Amino acid sequence: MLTPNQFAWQSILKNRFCSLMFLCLVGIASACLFGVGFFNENLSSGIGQVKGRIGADLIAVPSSYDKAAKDALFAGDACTILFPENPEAQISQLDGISQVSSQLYLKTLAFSCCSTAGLQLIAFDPKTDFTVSKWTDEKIENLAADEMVVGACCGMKQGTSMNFYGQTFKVADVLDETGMGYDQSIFISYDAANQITASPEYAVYFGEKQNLSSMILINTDSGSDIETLSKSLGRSLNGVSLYATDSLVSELKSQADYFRISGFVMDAFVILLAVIALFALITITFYQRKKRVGSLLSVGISRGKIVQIFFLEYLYLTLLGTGAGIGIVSVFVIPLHQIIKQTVNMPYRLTNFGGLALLILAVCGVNLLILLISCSLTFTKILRTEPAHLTEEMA
Amino acid sequence: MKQYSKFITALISVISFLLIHTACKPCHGMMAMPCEHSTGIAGIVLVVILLSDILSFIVKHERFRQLTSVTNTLLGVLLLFTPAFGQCQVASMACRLRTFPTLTVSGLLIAGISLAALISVLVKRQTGRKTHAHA
Repeated sequence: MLTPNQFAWQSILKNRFCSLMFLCLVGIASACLFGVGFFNENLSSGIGQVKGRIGADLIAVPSSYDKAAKDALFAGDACTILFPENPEAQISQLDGISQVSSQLYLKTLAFSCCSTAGLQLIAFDPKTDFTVSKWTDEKIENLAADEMVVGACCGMKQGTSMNFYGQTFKVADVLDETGMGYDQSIFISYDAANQITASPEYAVYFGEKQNLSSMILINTDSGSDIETLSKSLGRSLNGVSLYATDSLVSELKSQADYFRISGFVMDAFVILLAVIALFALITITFYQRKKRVGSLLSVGISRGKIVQIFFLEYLYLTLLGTGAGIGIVSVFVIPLHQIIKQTVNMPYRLTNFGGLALLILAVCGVNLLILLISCSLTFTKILRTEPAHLTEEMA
Repeated sequence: MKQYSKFITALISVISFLLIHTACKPCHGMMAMPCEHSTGIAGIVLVVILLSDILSFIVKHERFRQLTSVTNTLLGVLLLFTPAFGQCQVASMACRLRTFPTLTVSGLLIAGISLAALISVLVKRQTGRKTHAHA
Protein backbone atom coordinates (compact mmCIF):
# COMPACT_ATOMS: atom_id res chain seq x y z
CA MET A 1 0.00 0.00 0.00
CA LEU A 2 1.20 3.48 -0.86
CA THR A 3 2.15 5.77 2.02
CA PRO A 4 1.06 9.47 1.90
CA ASN A 5 4.70 10.27 1.14
CA GLN A 6 4.85 7.98 -1.91
CA PHE A 7 1.40 9.16 -3.00
CA ALA A 8 2.61 12.78 -2.92
CA TRP A 9 5.75 12.01 -4.98
CA GLN A 10 3.67 10.05 -7.50
CA SER A 11 1.30 13.01 -7.91
CA ILE A 12 4.29 15.34 -8.44
CA LEU A 13 5.78 13.09 -11.14
CA LYS A 14 2.41 12.34 -12.77
CA ASN A 15 1.32 16.00 -13.11
CA ARG A 16 4.67 17.25 -14.38
CA PHE A 17 3.43 20.44 -16.00
CA CYS A 18 1.50 21.60 -12.92
CA SER A 19 4.43 20.65 -10.67
CA LEU A 20 6.85 22.58 -12.90
CA MET A 21 4.61 25.67 -12.87
CA PHE A 22 4.29 25.47 -9.06
CA LEU A 23 8.06 25.06 -8.77
CA CYS A 24 8.68 28.07 -11.06
CA LEU A 25 6.26 30.30 -9.10
CA VAL A 26 7.76 29.41 -5.73
CA GLY A 27 11.28 29.62 -7.19
CA ILE A 28 10.74 33.13 -8.60
CA ALA A 29 9.10 34.34 -5.37
CA SER A 30 11.97 32.89 -3.30
CA ALA A 31 14.59 34.38 -5.62
CA CYS A 32 13.02 37.84 -5.26
CA LEU A 33 12.60 37.60 -1.47
CA PHE A 34 16.08 36.18 -0.92
CA GLY A 35 17.79 38.48 -3.45
CA VAL A 36 16.30 41.66 -1.99
CA GLY A 37 16.88 40.49 1.59
CA PHE A 38 20.47 39.45 0.89
CA PHE A 39 21.30 42.76 -0.80
CA ASN A 40 19.84 44.77 2.11
CA GLU A 41 21.62 42.59 4.67
CA ASN A 42 24.95 43.14 2.88
CA LEU A 43 24.37 46.92 2.75
CA SER A 44 23.49 47.02 6.47
CA SER A 45 26.53 44.91 7.26
CA GLY A 46 28.77 47.35 5.35
CA ILE A 47 27.22 50.56 6.74
CA GLY A 48 27.20 49.20 10.29
CA GLN A 49 30.99 49.11 10.18
CA VAL A 50 31.62 52.61 8.78
CA LYS A 51 31.68 54.64 12.01
CA GLY A 52 33.94 52.15 13.77
CA ARG A 53 36.24 51.71 10.78
CA ILE A 54 36.82 55.38 10.02
CA GLY A 55 37.46 55.83 13.73
CA ALA A 56 37.59 59.64 13.50
CA ASP A 57 35.02 62.30 14.37
CA LEU A 58 35.93 64.57 11.46
CA ILE A 59 37.59 64.12 8.07
CA ALA A 60 39.27 66.98 6.21
CA VAL A 61 39.90 66.68 2.45
CA PRO A 62 40.84 69.24 -0.24
CA SER A 63 37.63 70.93 -1.51
CA SER A 64 38.42 70.14 -5.13
CA TYR A 65 38.63 66.39 -4.38
CA ASP A 66 35.30 65.95 -2.52
CA LYS A 67 33.85 63.33 -4.87
CA ALA A 68 37.16 61.53 -5.44
CA ALA A 69 37.66 61.22 -1.65
CA LYS A 70 34.15 59.79 -1.11
CA ASP A 71 34.59 57.32 -4.00
CA ALA A 72 37.96 56.21 -2.63
CA LEU A 73 36.57 55.87 0.89
CA PHE A 74 33.36 53.99 0.11
CA ALA A 75 33.75 52.40 -3.35
CA GLY A 76 37.51 51.87 -3.46
CA ASP A 77 37.99 53.85 -6.70
CA ALA A 78 41.73 54.54 -6.81
CA CYS A 79 42.77 58.20 -7.02
CA THR A 80 45.58 60.58 -6.10
CA ILE A 81 44.50 63.39 -3.75
CA LEU A 82 46.81 66.18 -2.67
CA PHE A 83 46.45 69.20 -0.34
CA PRO A 84 48.39 72.17 -1.76
CA GLU A 85 49.79 72.58 1.79
CA ASN A 86 49.52 69.99 4.55
CA PRO A 87 47.12 71.55 7.15
CA GLU A 88 47.87 68.95 9.87
CA ALA A 89 49.97 71.26 12.06
CA GLN A 90 47.42 74.09 11.76
CA ILE A 91 44.53 71.79 12.74
CA SER A 92 46.33 70.20 15.68
CA GLN A 93 46.89 73.63 17.29
CA LEU A 94 43.16 74.44 17.40
CA ASP A 95 41.11 74.11 20.60
CA GLY A 96 38.93 71.04 21.08
CA ILE A 97 41.13 68.74 18.96
CA SER A 98 42.56 65.70 20.70
CA GLN A 99 44.10 63.60 17.89
CA VAL A 100 45.16 64.36 14.31
CA SER A 101 46.58 61.95 11.75
CA SER A 102 47.40 62.48 8.07
CA GLN A 103 46.86 60.02 5.26
CA LEU A 104 48.18 60.29 1.71
CA TYR A 105 46.17 58.73 -1.15
CA LEU A 106 48.19 57.70 -4.21
CA LYS A 107 47.02 55.84 -7.29
CA THR A 108 49.70 53.48 -8.55
CA LEU A 109 51.04 53.96 -12.06
CA ALA A 110 52.29 51.54 -14.72
CA PHE A 111 55.82 52.63 -15.62
CA SER A 112 57.05 49.20 -16.57
CA CYS A 113 55.92 45.61 -16.72
CA CYS A 114 56.96 45.16 -13.08
CA SER A 115 54.81 47.98 -11.64
CA THR A 116 51.21 47.26 -10.72
CA ALA A 117 48.93 50.06 -11.86
CA GLY A 118 45.52 51.37 -10.78
CA LEU A 119 45.69 50.42 -7.09
CA GLN A 120 44.98 52.67 -4.14
CA LEU A 121 48.02 53.26 -1.95
CA ILE A 122 47.31 54.92 1.40
CA ALA A 123 50.24 56.21 3.37
CA PHE A 124 49.69 56.61 7.10
CA ASP A 125 51.89 57.57 9.98
CA PRO A 126 52.01 54.57 12.35
CA LYS A 127 53.06 56.91 15.20
CA THR A 128 50.00 59.20 15.07
CA ASP A 129 47.55 56.72 13.50
CA PHE A 130 44.39 55.90 15.43
CA THR A 131 42.35 54.20 12.67
CA VAL A 132 44.26 51.60 10.59
CA SER A 133 45.81 49.96 13.66
CA LYS A 134 42.29 49.27 15.00
CA TRP A 135 41.49 46.95 12.09
CA THR A 136 44.12 44.38 12.93
CA ASP A 137 45.24 42.40 15.95
CA GLU A 138 48.89 42.69 14.83
CA LYS A 139 50.98 45.65 15.94
CA ILE A 140 51.75 47.82 12.92
CA GLU A 141 53.44 50.71 14.72
CA ASN A 142 56.84 49.59 13.43
CA LEU A 143 55.84 49.16 9.79
CA ALA A 144 59.10 49.25 7.78
CA ALA A 145 59.51 51.35 4.63
CA ASP A 146 59.50 48.21 2.45
CA GLU A 147 56.43 46.70 4.11
CA MET A 148 52.72 47.13 3.42
CA VAL A 149 49.44 46.23 5.06
CA VAL A 150 46.72 45.18 2.61
CA GLY A 151 42.90 45.35 2.70
CA ALA A 152 40.86 42.16 3.02
CA CYS A 153 39.75 42.14 -0.65
CA CYS A 154 43.18 42.77 -2.21
CA GLY A 155 43.61 39.02 -2.62
CA MET A 156 47.17 39.03 -1.26
CA LYS A 157 48.62 36.88 1.48
CA GLN A 158 51.14 37.70 4.16
CA GLY A 159 54.66 37.48 2.76
CA THR A 160 53.84 38.20 -0.92
CA SER A 161 55.69 41.03 -2.64
CA MET A 162 54.59 43.66 -5.12
CA ASN A 163 56.16 46.54 -6.99
CA PHE A 164 54.80 50.12 -6.89
CA TYR A 165 56.54 53.30 -8.01
CA GLY A 166 59.71 51.27 -8.61
CA GLN A 167 59.86 49.95 -5.04
CA THR A 168 59.16 46.43 -3.83
CA PHE A 169 56.83 46.07 -0.84
CA LYS A 170 56.20 42.93 1.19
CA VAL A 171 52.80 42.19 2.79
CA ALA A 172 53.22 42.47 6.59
CA ASP A 173 49.58 41.99 7.49
CA VAL A 174 46.08 41.61 6.02
CA LEU A 175 43.32 43.76 7.56
CA ASP A 176 39.85 42.59 8.55
CA GLU A 177 37.07 43.22 6.02
CA THR A 178 35.39 46.64 6.37
CA GLY A 179 32.98 46.71 3.40
CA MET A 180 34.50 50.09 2.45
CA GLY A 181 37.10 51.20 -0.09
CA TYR A 182 39.79 50.31 2.46
CA ASP A 183 39.28 46.64 1.53
CA GLN A 184 40.86 47.25 -1.89
CA SER A 185 43.56 49.60 -0.57
CA ILE A 186 47.20 49.05 0.29
CA PHE A 187 48.64 50.80 3.33
CA ILE A 188 52.27 51.89 3.51
CA SER A 189 54.17 54.02 6.01
CA TYR A 190 54.76 57.74 5.51
CA ASP A 191 58.52 57.00 5.31
CA ALA A 192 57.92 54.87 2.21
CA ALA A 193 55.56 57.49 0.74
CA ASN A 194 58.13 60.23 1.34
CA GLN A 195 60.72 58.22 -0.60
CA ILE A 196 58.30 58.11 -3.54
CA THR A 197 57.13 61.75 -3.43
CA ALA A 198 60.65 63.14 -2.89
CA SER A 199 62.10 61.07 -5.71
CA PRO A 200 63.25 63.11 -8.77
CA GLU A 201 61.81 60.31 -10.95
CA TYR A 202 58.26 61.38 -9.97
CA ALA A 203 58.96 65.10 -9.70
CA VAL A 204 56.35 65.81 -12.35
CA TYR A 205 53.65 64.34 -10.07
CA PHE A 206 54.80 65.32 -6.57
CA GLY A 207 57.37 68.07 -7.08
CA GLU A 208 60.02 66.23 -5.02
CA LYS A 209 58.12 67.16 -1.82
CA GLN A 210 57.84 65.26 1.44
CA ASN A 211 54.99 64.93 3.97
CA LEU A 212 52.26 65.51 1.40
CA SER A 213 48.74 64.89 2.63
CA SER A 214 45.35 63.93 1.18
CA MET A 215 43.12 63.46 4.19
CA ILE A 216 43.33 64.57 7.81
CA LEU A 217 41.55 62.38 10.33
CA ILE A 218 40.52 64.35 13.40
CA ASN A 219 39.31 63.22 16.82
CA THR A 220 37.75 65.84 19.05
CA ASP A 221 37.90 66.26 22.83
CA SER A 222 35.15 64.33 24.60
CA GLY A 223 33.16 67.44 25.57
CA SER A 224 33.40 69.23 22.19
CA ASP A 225 30.44 69.78 19.93
CA ILE A 226 31.49 68.29 16.56
CA GLU A 227 29.18 70.49 14.47
CA THR A 228 30.42 73.74 16.07
CA LEU A 229 34.02 72.61 15.81
CA SER A 230 33.54 71.65 12.17
CA LYS A 231 32.17 75.13 11.39
CA SER A 232 35.00 76.92 13.18
CA LEU A 233 37.58 74.71 11.42
CA GLY A 234 35.92 75.44 8.08
CA ARG A 235 36.25 79.18 8.73
CA SER A 236 39.92 78.98 9.65
CA LEU A 237 41.01 76.65 6.80
CA ASN A 238 40.83 77.63 3.16
CA GLY A 239 40.14 75.09 0.42
CA VAL A 240 39.31 72.36 2.92
CA SER A 241 36.06 70.37 3.09
CA LEU A 242 35.15 68.94 6.47
CA TYR A 243 32.89 65.96 7.01
CA ALA A 244 31.53 64.74 10.33
CA THR A 245 31.62 60.93 10.34
CA ASP A 246 28.20 60.82 12.03
CA SER A 247 26.58 62.83 9.24
CA LEU A 248 28.33 60.65 6.60
CA VAL A 249 26.95 57.55 8.33
CA SER A 250 23.43 59.00 8.59
CA GLU A 251 23.59 59.98 4.89
CA LEU A 252 24.55 56.38 4.03
CA LYS A 253 21.84 55.02 6.32
CA SER A 254 19.17 57.13 4.62
CA GLN A 255 20.34 55.80 1.22
CA ALA A 256 20.19 52.24 2.60
CA ASP A 257 16.68 52.93 3.97
CA TYR A 258 15.60 53.94 0.47
CA PHE A 259 16.82 50.57 -0.85
CA ARG A 260 15.14 48.79 2.09
CA ILE A 261 11.76 50.46 1.52
CA SER A 262 11.91 49.80 -2.26
CA GLY A 263 12.76 46.18 -1.52
CA PHE A 264 9.91 45.91 0.99
CA VAL A 265 7.39 47.22 -1.58
CA MET A 266 8.73 44.78 -4.19
CA ASP A 267 8.55 41.89 -1.71
CA ALA A 268 4.95 42.78 -0.83
CA PHE A 269 3.93 42.66 -4.51
CA VAL A 270 5.81 39.38 -5.07
CA ILE A 271 4.09 37.77 -2.04
CA LEU A 272 0.67 39.00 -3.19
CA LEU A 273 1.21 37.69 -6.74
CA ALA A 274 2.54 34.37 -5.44
CA VAL A 275 -0.47 33.92 -3.13
CA ILE A 276 -2.94 34.65 -5.96
CA ALA A 277 -1.13 32.44 -8.51
CA LEU A 278 -0.62 29.50 -6.11
CA PHE A 279 -4.17 29.78 -4.77
CA ALA A 280 -5.49 29.57 -8.34
CA LEU A 281 -3.19 26.68 -9.27
CA ILE A 282 -3.99 24.62 -6.14
CA THR A 283 -7.75 25.26 -6.41
CA ILE A 284 -7.86 24.33 -10.12
CA THR A 285 -5.83 21.19 -9.43
CA PHE A 286 -8.25 20.27 -6.61
CA TYR A 287 -11.25 20.64 -8.91
CA GLN A 288 -9.48 18.42 -11.47
CA ARG A 289 -8.90 15.79 -8.77
CA LYS A 290 -12.30 16.12 -7.09
CA LYS A 291 -13.49 12.70 -8.22
CA ARG A 292 -10.26 11.09 -7.06
CA VAL A 293 -10.61 12.68 -3.61
CA GLY A 294 -14.25 11.53 -3.46
CA SER A 295 -13.21 7.98 -4.37
CA LEU A 296 -10.52 7.97 -1.69
CA LEU A 297 -13.08 9.13 0.90
CA SER A 298 -15.56 6.50 -0.30
CA VAL A 299 -13.06 3.67 0.24
CA GLY A 300 -12.54 4.81 3.84
CA ILE A 301 -9.38 6.87 3.71
CA SER A 302 -9.68 9.56 6.37
CA ARG A 303 -10.01 13.24 5.44
CA GLY A 304 -6.89 13.99 7.48
CA LYS A 305 -4.87 11.54 5.39
CA ILE A 306 -6.08 13.12 2.12
CA VAL A 307 -5.22 16.60 3.42
CA GLN A 308 -1.82 15.19 4.39
CA ILE A 309 -1.26 13.83 0.85
CA PHE A 310 -2.16 17.19 -0.71
CA PHE A 311 -0.08 19.11 1.82
CA LEU A 312 2.97 16.87 1.41
CA GLU A 313 2.83 17.24 -2.38
CA TYR A 314 2.82 21.03 -2.18
CA LEU A 315 5.27 21.10 0.72
CA TYR A 316 7.87 19.15 -1.29
CA LEU A 317 7.36 21.43 -4.28
CA THR A 318 7.61 24.53 -2.05
CA LEU A 319 10.84 23.32 -0.46
CA LEU A 320 12.33 22.40 -3.85
CA GLY A 321 11.28 25.76 -5.33
CA THR A 322 12.66 27.67 -2.35
CA GLY A 323 15.97 25.81 -2.62
CA ALA A 324 16.15 26.44 -6.38
CA GLY A 325 15.34 30.16 -6.02
CA ILE A 326 17.88 30.71 -3.24
CA GLY A 327 20.47 28.59 -5.10
CA ILE A 328 20.12 30.51 -8.37
CA VAL A 329 20.41 33.91 -6.64
CA SER A 330 23.44 32.70 -4.66
CA VAL A 331 25.13 31.43 -7.84
CA PHE A 332 24.97 34.96 -9.26
CA VAL A 333 25.23 37.23 -6.21
CA ILE A 334 28.07 35.58 -4.27
CA PRO A 335 30.68 35.28 -7.10
CA LEU A 336 29.76 38.71 -8.49
CA HIS A 337 29.63 40.58 -5.16
CA GLN A 338 32.69 42.72 -5.95
CA ILE A 339 30.99 44.03 -9.11
CA ILE A 340 27.79 44.73 -7.12
CA LYS A 341 29.88 46.54 -4.50
CA GLN A 342 31.41 48.79 -7.16
CA THR A 343 28.02 49.41 -8.76
CA VAL A 344 26.18 50.49 -5.58
CA ASN A 345 29.03 52.84 -4.63
CA MET A 346 28.27 52.31 -0.93
CA PRO A 347 29.83 50.22 1.85
CA TYR A 348 28.83 46.65 0.99
CA ARG A 349 30.01 43.56 2.82
CA LEU A 350 28.85 39.96 2.55
CA THR A 351 26.80 39.21 5.64
CA ASN A 352 28.00 36.53 8.04
CA PHE A 353 26.79 32.92 8.08
CA GLY A 354 24.34 33.56 10.94
CA GLY A 355 22.66 36.41 9.04
CA LEU A 356 22.48 34.28 5.90
CA ALA A 357 20.96 31.32 7.77
CA LEU A 358 18.35 33.61 9.36
CA LEU A 359 17.47 35.06 5.96
CA ILE A 360 17.06 31.56 4.44
CA LEU A 361 14.81 30.57 7.38
CA ALA A 362 12.77 33.75 6.91
CA VAL A 363 12.28 33.02 3.16
CA CYS A 364 11.26 29.41 3.99
CA GLY A 365 8.84 30.73 6.63
CA VAL A 366 7.24 33.24 4.24
CA ASN A 367 6.90 30.54 1.54
CA LEU A 368 5.25 28.14 3.99
CA LEU A 369 2.84 30.89 5.00
CA ILE A 370 2.07 31.55 1.31
CA LEU A 371 1.47 27.82 0.87
CA LEU A 372 -0.89 27.61 3.87
CA ILE A 373 -2.93 30.60 2.67
CA SER A 374 -3.07 29.19 -0.87
CA CYS A 375 -4.14 25.72 0.34
CA SER A 376 -6.79 27.00 2.75
CA LEU A 377 -9.80 26.74 0.41
CA THR A 378 -8.78 23.32 -0.91
CA PHE A 379 -8.34 21.92 2.60
CA THR A 380 -11.68 23.38 3.73
CA LYS A 381 -13.40 21.74 0.74
CA ILE A 382 -11.80 18.37 1.49
CA LEU A 383 -12.72 18.56 5.16
CA ARG A 384 -16.30 19.75 4.68
CA THR A 385 -17.67 18.37 1.38
CA GLU A 386 -19.51 15.08 1.30
CA PRO A 387 -17.85 12.27 -0.76
CA ALA A 388 -20.97 11.99 -2.93
CA HIS A 389 -20.66 15.65 -3.90
CA LEU A 390 -17.01 15.21 -4.71
CA THR A 391 -17.63 12.19 -6.94
CA GLU A 392 -20.49 14.22 -8.51
CA GLU A 393 -23.02 11.53 -7.81
CA MET A 394 -25.28 14.13 -6.21
CA ALA A 395 -26.22 17.44 -7.76
CA MET B 1 14.39 17.76 -19.59
CA LYS B 2 17.43 16.30 -21.37
CA GLN B 3 16.97 18.33 -24.55
CA TYR B 4 16.02 21.50 -22.66
CA SER B 5 19.13 21.12 -20.50
CA LYS B 6 21.34 20.75 -23.58
CA PHE B 7 19.81 23.85 -25.12
CA ILE B 8 20.27 25.87 -21.90
CA THR B 9 23.90 24.74 -21.35
CA ALA B 10 24.67 25.50 -25.01
CA LEU B 11 23.19 28.98 -24.57
CA ILE B 12 25.14 29.58 -21.33
CA SER B 13 28.42 28.47 -22.97
CA VAL B 14 27.85 30.80 -25.97
CA ILE B 15 26.99 33.78 -23.72
CA SER B 16 29.95 33.09 -21.42
CA PHE B 17 32.32 32.71 -24.38
CA LEU B 18 31.16 36.05 -25.78
CA LEU B 19 31.36 37.74 -22.34
CA ILE B 20 34.95 36.65 -21.60
CA HIS B 21 35.98 38.06 -24.97
CA THR B 22 34.08 41.35 -24.69
CA ALA B 23 32.65 42.91 -21.49
CA CYS B 24 34.42 40.56 -19.07
CA LYS B 25 37.73 40.08 -20.86
CA PRO B 26 40.84 39.53 -18.74
CA CYS B 27 43.67 41.99 -18.09
CA HIS B 28 45.90 42.84 -21.01
CA GLY B 29 49.42 44.12 -20.55
CA MET B 30 52.61 44.59 -22.51
CA MET B 31 53.50 40.98 -21.81
CA ALA B 32 51.29 37.89 -21.92
CA MET B 33 49.52 37.71 -18.56
CA PRO B 34 48.69 34.48 -16.70
CA CYS B 35 44.97 35.29 -16.67
CA GLU B 36 44.94 35.50 -20.49
CA HIS B 37 46.31 31.97 -20.59
CA SER B 38 43.65 30.61 -18.20
CA THR B 39 40.88 32.49 -20.02
CA GLY B 40 42.08 30.82 -23.23
CA ILE B 41 41.70 27.43 -21.54
CA ALA B 42 38.22 28.40 -20.30
CA GLY B 43 37.32 29.44 -23.87
CA ILE B 44 38.34 25.98 -25.16
CA VAL B 45 36.27 24.29 -22.39
CA LEU B 46 33.22 26.40 -23.33
CA VAL B 47 33.62 25.48 -27.03
CA VAL B 48 33.87 21.76 -26.10
CA ILE B 49 30.65 22.07 -24.03
CA LEU B 50 28.91 23.76 -26.97
CA LEU B 51 30.12 21.08 -29.44
CA SER B 52 29.01 18.24 -27.15
CA ASP B 53 25.57 19.85 -26.85
CA ILE B 54 25.28 20.24 -30.62
CA LEU B 55 26.39 16.62 -31.11
CA SER B 56 23.82 15.38 -28.61
CA PHE B 57 21.12 17.12 -30.67
CA ILE B 58 22.34 15.32 -33.80
CA VAL B 59 23.22 11.89 -32.35
CA LYS B 60 19.96 10.55 -30.95
CA HIS B 61 21.54 7.77 -28.94
CA GLU B 62 20.54 7.58 -25.26
CA ARG B 63 23.97 6.44 -24.05
CA PHE B 64 25.72 9.25 -25.93
CA ARG B 65 23.38 11.85 -24.40
CA GLN B 66 24.08 10.54 -20.92
CA LEU B 67 27.80 10.63 -21.65
CA THR B 68 27.56 14.28 -22.75
CA SER B 69 25.69 15.09 -19.52
CA VAL B 70 28.54 13.55 -17.52
CA THR B 71 31.24 15.35 -19.54
CA ASN B 72 29.36 18.67 -19.32
CA THR B 73 29.10 18.30 -15.52
CA LEU B 74 32.85 17.66 -15.29
CA LEU B 75 33.68 20.50 -17.70
CA GLY B 76 31.42 22.84 -15.69
CA VAL B 77 33.38 21.94 -12.56
CA LEU B 78 36.63 22.48 -14.51
CA LEU B 79 35.47 26.05 -15.30
CA LEU B 80 35.40 26.75 -11.54
CA PHE B 81 39.08 25.86 -11.35
CA THR B 82 40.33 27.93 -14.32
CA PRO B 83 41.98 30.53 -12.00
CA ALA B 84 44.33 27.69 -10.96
CA PHE B 85 45.92 27.93 -14.46
CA GLY B 86 47.02 31.48 -13.69
CA GLN B 87 45.54 34.72 -12.43
CA CYS B 88 46.65 38.23 -11.50
CA GLN B 89 47.89 38.85 -7.98
CA VAL B 90 45.58 41.73 -7.05
CA ALA B 91 41.85 41.13 -6.53
CA SER B 92 40.85 44.44 -8.11
CA MET B 93 42.30 43.47 -11.52
CA ALA B 94 39.77 42.93 -14.34
CA CYS B 95 40.34 39.16 -14.49
CA ARG B 96 39.54 38.60 -10.81
CA LEU B 97 36.76 41.17 -10.77
CA ARG B 98 34.90 40.09 -13.92
CA THR B 99 36.37 37.20 -15.96
CA PHE B 100 36.71 34.54 -13.26
CA PRO B 101 33.43 35.37 -11.44
CA THR B 102 31.66 35.10 -14.84
CA LEU B 103 33.30 31.72 -15.42
CA THR B 104 32.35 30.64 -11.87
CA VAL B 105 28.69 31.52 -12.48
CA SER B 106 28.60 29.76 -15.88
CA GLY B 107 30.51 26.74 -14.48
CA LEU B 108 28.06 26.37 -11.58
CA LEU B 109 25.06 26.72 -13.90
CA ILE B 110 26.40 24.27 -16.52
CA ALA B 111 27.44 21.69 -13.90
CA GLY B 112 24.16 22.07 -11.97
CA ILE B 113 21.90 21.79 -15.03
CA SER B 114 23.84 18.84 -16.53
CA LEU B 115 23.80 17.04 -13.18
CA ALA B 116 20.06 17.66 -12.75
CA ALA B 117 19.46 16.28 -16.29
CA LEU B 118 21.55 13.21 -15.53
CA ILE B 119 19.74 12.57 -12.23
CA SER B 120 16.35 13.01 -13.92
CA VAL B 121 17.29 10.40 -16.58
CA LEU B 122 18.51 7.97 -13.91
CA VAL B 123 15.38 8.46 -11.75
CA LYS B 124 13.16 8.00 -14.82
CA ARG B 125 14.99 4.81 -15.74
CA GLN B 126 14.74 3.51 -12.17
CA THR B 127 10.99 4.26 -12.06
CA GLY B 128 10.57 2.60 -15.48
CA ARG B 129 12.35 -0.51 -14.26
CA LYS B 130 10.18 -0.71 -11.13
CA THR B 131 6.96 -0.31 -13.17
CA HIS B 132 8.19 -2.94 -15.64
CA ALA B 133 9.05 -5.38 -12.81
CA HIS B 134 5.68 -4.69 -11.15
CA ALA B 135 3.85 -5.40 -14.43
